[in-house]
Amino acid sequence: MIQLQSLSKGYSERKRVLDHISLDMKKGDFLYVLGGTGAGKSTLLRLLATEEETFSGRLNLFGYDLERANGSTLQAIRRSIGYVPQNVRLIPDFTVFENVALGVSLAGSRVARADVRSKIYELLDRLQLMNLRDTLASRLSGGEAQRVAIARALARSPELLIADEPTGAQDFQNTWNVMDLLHRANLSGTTIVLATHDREIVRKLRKRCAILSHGKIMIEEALCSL
Amino acid sequence: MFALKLALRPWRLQPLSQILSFATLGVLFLLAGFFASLATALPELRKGLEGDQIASVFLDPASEPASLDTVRDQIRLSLGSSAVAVEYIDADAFLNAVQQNQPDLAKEVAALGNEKDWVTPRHFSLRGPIGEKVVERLRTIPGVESVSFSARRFQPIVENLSAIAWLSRVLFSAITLAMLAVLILLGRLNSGIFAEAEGIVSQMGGSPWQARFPARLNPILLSSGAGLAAGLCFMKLSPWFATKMVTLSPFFSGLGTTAPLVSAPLLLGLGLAVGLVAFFLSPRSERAVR
Repeated sequence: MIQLQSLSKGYSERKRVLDHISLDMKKGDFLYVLGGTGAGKSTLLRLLATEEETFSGRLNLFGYDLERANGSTLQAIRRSIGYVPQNVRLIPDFTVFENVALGVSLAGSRVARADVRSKIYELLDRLQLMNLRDTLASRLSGGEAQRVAIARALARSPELLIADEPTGAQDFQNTWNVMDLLHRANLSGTTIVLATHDREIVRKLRKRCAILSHGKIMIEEALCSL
Repeated sequence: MFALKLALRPWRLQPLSQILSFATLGVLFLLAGFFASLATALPELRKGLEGDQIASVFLDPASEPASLDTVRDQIRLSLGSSAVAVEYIDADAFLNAVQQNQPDLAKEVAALGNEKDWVTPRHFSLRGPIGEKVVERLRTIPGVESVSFSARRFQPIVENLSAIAWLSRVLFSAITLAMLAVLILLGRLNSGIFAEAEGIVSQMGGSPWQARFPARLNPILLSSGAGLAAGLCFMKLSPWFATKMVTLSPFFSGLGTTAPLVSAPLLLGLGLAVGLVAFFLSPRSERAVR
């Protein structure tokens, strides 16, 4: 599903944020991307989410070479992805429900129209956002906005879910609510790439991991042993 | 539904600039409506004035009164199917007309008794669209001594009206272009607001069209809304406008009788048209969407 071959990304000639990264992921995999600040985790996730399009090396998503993908292929790829960016990127003057529903409506026929509302409500309930469903996104706290972004990504029933520090602003209970939802999505076949700093999560929910440092994968383990 | 809600974002985020743009466009549409109504009504008015000519067909004093009907028939034949009013003015009718302006002269002529028929000119007065060729034909009718013709009696006014109609068309075009410029500039101003949403929509798999549509729908909504508001305003103001125009010149009576009925849909249509042009000319947002 994901193939990275010698993937590099730099914002200047001298400094590479990602340096010849190679990685393979199959459908249904769950990968933690770990590493310190500036290790290149977010850049890697942005490339996987096709938010950034300039890189060197090879990046294949769903069997498509991203460098050669035309506009409609790129759209189809994006429709299959649920992405929780670090800066959440909600539309501030849309309500919580509208932000999630917009994400679903852009996922195409992936989600049955009749099930949309009940699915969104169920997710909002699980993420303790039900009482905020009619609140404007601009009035949410950082943690609430982050959970809305997670709900938006999950509601799309994506084939690939990419989450950049989705629990960074959550309390204990919400952290495990989020992880439970991601775990369930993974069990039902969604491939998950999760960048996190939280070692507690990695220890309790042991999955494959890649530890980045200075733009390189230093350690890659099938079952993380942190 | 989301496209509409996204298109209305500037109303939520920058209401003042939207309200000012709406008001500016509304006033410009009102002016456009005013000049459009002038440009469409003045040619009719001009045509009416051009068709309002007067000819006096003076009869030979020696001709028998019995030949009057023959001359009248000849005049009718010469006029063809033109809607020209033909009226015979005998001595009494002439004196009545003279009495209004020169009562002393009228009294003097009336005192002549039967001789007044020899002093006063017997003539047919013709009023309506009369051309030079018709006048030439009238002169050849037996029993007609002469024909006086008010050729182009409203010519200066007609020329003025033509100039005003031309100027109205120019101003209408200029205002329409100004509205377009307002919408495109507003689109540029709003591009920052839309760029954020365009990026999100594009990131979630929306097509470039889906991403850009709200930004382009905004000028259509603004323009057609302002057009409709201006149209309704124009309907309300039209009688007042017509009254003011008549006080400017009595020739303008008749203006604004049909304008109120068509102005609202016309201005709404103009709003839609200007909005559509702005739709296609709207600048792309700062973030290019692939």
